[in-house]
Amino acid sequence: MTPEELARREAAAHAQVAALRALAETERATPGFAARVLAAAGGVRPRRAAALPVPAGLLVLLGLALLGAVPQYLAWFQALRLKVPPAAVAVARLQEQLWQRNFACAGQLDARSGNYAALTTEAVVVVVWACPSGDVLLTVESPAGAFPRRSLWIAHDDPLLRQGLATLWPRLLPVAQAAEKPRRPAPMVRVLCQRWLPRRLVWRHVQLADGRCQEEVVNPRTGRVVQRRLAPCALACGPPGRP
Amino acid sequence: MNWDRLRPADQSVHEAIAAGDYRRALEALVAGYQHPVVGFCTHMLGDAALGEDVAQDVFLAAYAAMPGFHRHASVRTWLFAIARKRCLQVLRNRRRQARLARLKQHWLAAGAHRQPPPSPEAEADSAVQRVQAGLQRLPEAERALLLMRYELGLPLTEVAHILGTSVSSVRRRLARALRRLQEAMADDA
Repeated sequence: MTPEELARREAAAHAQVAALRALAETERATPGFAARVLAAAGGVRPRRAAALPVPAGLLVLLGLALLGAVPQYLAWFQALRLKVPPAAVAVARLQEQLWQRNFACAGQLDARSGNYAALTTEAVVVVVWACPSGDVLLTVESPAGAFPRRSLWIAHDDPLLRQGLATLWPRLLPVAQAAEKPRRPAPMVRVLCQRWLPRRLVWRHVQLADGRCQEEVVNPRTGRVVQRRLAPCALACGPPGRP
Repeated sequence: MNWDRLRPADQSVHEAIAAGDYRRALEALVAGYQHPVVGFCTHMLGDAALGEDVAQDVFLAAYAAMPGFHRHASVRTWLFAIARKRCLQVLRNRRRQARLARLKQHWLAAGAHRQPPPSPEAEADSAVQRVQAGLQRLPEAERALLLMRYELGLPLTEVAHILGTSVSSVRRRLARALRRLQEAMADDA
């Protein structure tokens, strides 16, 4: 609204405006009013109101939300440290513990042993190695090289591992089934030597079913063979080292 | 309202607050503003005794808030923002209590098989009395707006500052409030 429009409205209501202005002279404080106010002020303490940039309730909510998310931050940190997805941290830590617990047993893997079993199809080879602790090392290979060899420890009494299996198998099996031109596999039949490497990796010297040998590096948290190459079967085996 | 004569009082209030002497600031504030604040509260509430009580609360609230008073702020804008807020609070509380009282009276009247007595109408025989009666029939926010602008004579910019709105919006609200006041007074006549 423009000043002119308001001025017109005031002119139309000039009697009311004049009466409103006259109100200023009609009411006055009674004598003693100022003294009463000053007497009452004795019970009042001037103070600066605490000024927060945001309402206090919002700060409390924000603090609670940040506090509640601490486990998630820890999981992210662990995932970064272990180099696995955040959802797989618990499984990765358990796998690493099982590698440490059964390290000696894993180094004795041999196809001639009664603890060894192999499930062989054209698309996938599964080697099962049972340890005295009751834990079982499962090694899954693709004869066509569709996916890298992967080892997974199974502890029957651990619900987390069952959960880990449930997430791993659906990813693994379709890849194995999609492998083209499969050939007869040459699964790992014997672990010739095994030791811990820096950064908590496992080095293995293994013999395959076709008689060839290879060196491989396994990440115990994911069970994946991260490096491998053919190697002579006669290699000196050093001490097992420490994780 | 001649605000020029209150300039010395404003100056004293500013100086006393800057010096941290809040008691002296209160004395200057009450000495300068007691009549306009009592008048504003009385006309807002339609009751002289209640208006003076609320005006006393206004000064005490201003005294308590003095440490937060900005050095460059206008004393009267600050004080009448407090006064308007206090009066609106009192009116809200009174409305709530009146609703309860009306309900109680209705039950009593129903029990005695008679109608509740009609509320007494103020007789208005002069322009000022008629405008006072008309003001009481307006919404409280419009009443406060008309009193701040015409009784106190605050500039539009200060009214806009108190209401937290634009000058254009204040003009529009004033025009509407004046029209309603005319209608209310015409009904009374």
